[in-house]
Amino acid sequence: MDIDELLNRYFEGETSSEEERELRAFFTSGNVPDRLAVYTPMFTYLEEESRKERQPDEALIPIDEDILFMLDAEKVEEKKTFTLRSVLYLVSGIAASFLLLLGLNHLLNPVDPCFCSDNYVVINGRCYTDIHKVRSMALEALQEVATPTDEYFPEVDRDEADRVIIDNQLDELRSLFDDNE
Amino acid sequence: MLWLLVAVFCLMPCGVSAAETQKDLKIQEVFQRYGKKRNVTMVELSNEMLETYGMTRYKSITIKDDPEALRFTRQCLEADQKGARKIKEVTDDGGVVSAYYQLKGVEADINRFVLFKVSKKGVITLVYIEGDLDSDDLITLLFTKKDL
Repeated sequence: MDIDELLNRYFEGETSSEEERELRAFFTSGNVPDRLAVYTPMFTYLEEESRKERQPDEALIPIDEDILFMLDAEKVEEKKTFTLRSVLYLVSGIAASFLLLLGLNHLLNPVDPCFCSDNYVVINGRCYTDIHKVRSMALEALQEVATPTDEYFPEVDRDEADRVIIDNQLDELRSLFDDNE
Repeated sequence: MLWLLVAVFCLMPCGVSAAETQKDLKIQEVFQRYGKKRNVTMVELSNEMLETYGMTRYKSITIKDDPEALRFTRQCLEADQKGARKIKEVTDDGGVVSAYYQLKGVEADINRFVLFKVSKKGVITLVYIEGDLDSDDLITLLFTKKDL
């Protein structure tokens, strides 16, 4: 392609990277006609910048191999830290959700404090599993329901006639069970 | 996935009651409703220590100073005693003050009894017993003071 045409396309912004490389090569070759010499410094500068981008000039920026290695190591470390942090966040999130669900479950389904025991007594909302206490409370309730009627009826109601009737009824009841036997 | 976990945790029953045979009874609600309240003592026994008395389960609840609980307990007893054998029933002012009922069994050879009493001080005592003991055994147990 003609260099003038290429230049025109360059200033129109229509050139490809390859064509721009051609232009830079042309203007840094040293065989530039005088009429185009005005563009030489610009393309020389662009060529230098392009080279810097492609490969760092070791003479201009001397980089120790160790520093490069450290930079690479840091990148790897950063990547590892990032991965580890993500896992930690994930695990913490799961643990927090689990605790939240446990709390929610406890709220919705209050745990019976005695569910692990076959024998228990709950007094004023507090659960006891001491077997002696459980037995004594069970016996107390049984004795209460078995209390003879004369202990039930208040003193003012204690009429001898009624007492006799009730005792007779109880006797009949007992004899009824004996008959069934 | 999270919603599945939520559903499982929320619906998971924590303390599955072993009292399956008591499930059909209204008095179970008395134990559930008042069991953990103040002025209430609730007892449950359900292992080999009851075998001597032919029982497999014993539950009792004693409620003090709670007229609403008395009303509710009587209501439950009224429902449960339908079809039950009345061993003893004493009423005062139209309300049951003392009763022994032998309930219809849900399992063969397992008898169920409900004992109830309200003292002159208004203390409610409700006892549920199940086992292979019969009413005679129960009366013997009640009127001969033995240790459980």
